[in-house]
Amino acid sequence: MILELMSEALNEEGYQCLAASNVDTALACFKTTPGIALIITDLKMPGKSGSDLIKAVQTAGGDQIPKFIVMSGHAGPSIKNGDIDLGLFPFLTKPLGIESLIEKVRVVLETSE
Amino acid sequence: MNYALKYSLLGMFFGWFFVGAAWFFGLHYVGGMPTFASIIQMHVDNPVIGIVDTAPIVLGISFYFLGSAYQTLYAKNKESQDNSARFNALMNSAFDAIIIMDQQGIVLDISRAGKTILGYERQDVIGKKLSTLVFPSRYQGDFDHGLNIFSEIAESPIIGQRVEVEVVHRDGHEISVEVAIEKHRVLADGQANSAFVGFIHDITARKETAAQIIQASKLATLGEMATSVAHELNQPLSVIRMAAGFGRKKLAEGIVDPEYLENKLEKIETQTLRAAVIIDHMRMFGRKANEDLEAIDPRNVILRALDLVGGPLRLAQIEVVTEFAEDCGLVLGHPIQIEQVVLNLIANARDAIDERDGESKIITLRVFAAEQSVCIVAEDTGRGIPEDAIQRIFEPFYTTKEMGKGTGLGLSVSYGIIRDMNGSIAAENSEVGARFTITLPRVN
Repeated sequence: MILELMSEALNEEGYQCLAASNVDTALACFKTTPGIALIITDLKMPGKSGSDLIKAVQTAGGDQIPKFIVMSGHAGPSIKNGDIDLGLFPFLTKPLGIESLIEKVRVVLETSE
Repeated sequence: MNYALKYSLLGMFFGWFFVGAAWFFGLHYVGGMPTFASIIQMHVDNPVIGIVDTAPIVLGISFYFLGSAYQTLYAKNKESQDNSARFNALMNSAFDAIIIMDQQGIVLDISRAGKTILGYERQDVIGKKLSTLVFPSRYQGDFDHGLNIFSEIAESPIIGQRVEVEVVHRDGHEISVEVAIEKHRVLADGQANSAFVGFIHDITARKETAAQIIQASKLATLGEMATSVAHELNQPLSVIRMAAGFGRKKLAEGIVDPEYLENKLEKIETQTLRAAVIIDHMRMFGRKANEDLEAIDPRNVILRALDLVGGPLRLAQIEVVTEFAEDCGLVLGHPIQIEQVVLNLIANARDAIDERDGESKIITLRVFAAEQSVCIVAEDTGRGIPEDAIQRIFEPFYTTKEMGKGTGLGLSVSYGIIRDMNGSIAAENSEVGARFTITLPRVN
């Protein structure tokens, strides 16, 4: 349900969204759909975690690596997970607010490397 | 001390006194140097001298018998004094209230601890009926009935048994005690009668400790659950916040579409309910279970437990399989406590699966009826129970989990809860992991 609402919010802002409920579906989406600019991922998910997704995308993406936003119920991105420092990624705290989501997406997409 | 010998010597001494007196009065005087023949002749001539001179022997022998009779009496008296002293020592020092009653249950004597446990002075209790004094009205019938049956058929459900009951202290508050009553012959007013000896053992402190340990382990489980529950709560909260945000945004933009708003509000409502269920559950689980026993469907208990931990299990990619018999019967107990047991078994299964980290991650929960009982089985595909741990697994503070992970309380408390429900819990290894079987008496 949260996926549905997030897609709805971003679609209304004119972004095109693909929703995936776990890491494997998301990876499949990423591989079949070229031109993905941003991935928003939860940290805790059934099965593989958000950091797994980030790693997999970074290895599979080649020169087409999208930006990431991680979200979690924890107060801050203090979790270090393997070789990925999640503190480096833009962060959204759950429960999500509509404006903070849109604002974060806008800022992240507008910021150049 | 041998009174017979002493008395005998005393008798001989008296005897010699007579002989001496006779000598003093010249009875033995025969003139000239006494010869053996003259002494014999003297005794033959004068029978008085004969009698007097045998006095030491005669008195010695008679006093011997007197002494031995006294000895017997003295020993008896000593024994009775000793017995009485020992009885007093017992009655004054026993930690339990020891009560001696006649066949009607009227108190003949009570130990000193009776005052500590029940609050009554000895003289306040003697001559009164114990049952009316200390048993709450709800038990009085049973108690009297038990004694009555006993006097009729010499057998009774309460005789020779240890029973946990509540009794009323003199100041009116109820205390938990263990009562044991046994039949015995005692002397009452010099007549041998069959009577009852009752032991009242105060178990209030033990009960309180048990309750505290249950509470402590429950809090430990709660603490463990808190993290996953926080995560669980964030899901409905996210949906609620987003849905509300949508509504507010549309209103701010001046778009009022009732259908749209209704859809969002419905989402908020259902998610609020979901969150409320989780919170309510935590609260229920945390409070002390003082409610009365009730008939419970074990299947519902398991479903409620899964409401609470199902989410985190899905996150850990553990599949939960439930196999419930159509008609499994009910059990008597505290719903929260059984749920605590089930939650604990699930948590253990999860940890065991985590530790093994194998391909198959399944927890199977089964409920079925077996003759007069209901069985709850929890099976996992975890690392199993180490062989040397099986014997000790229900001991308090025994844990096979790594430092800081287990309290060692979960299973021992579960054991206590199931035992209090007159059931049993057993641990074994299956082909794929560990299996715990709870057997509880079935009620109608």
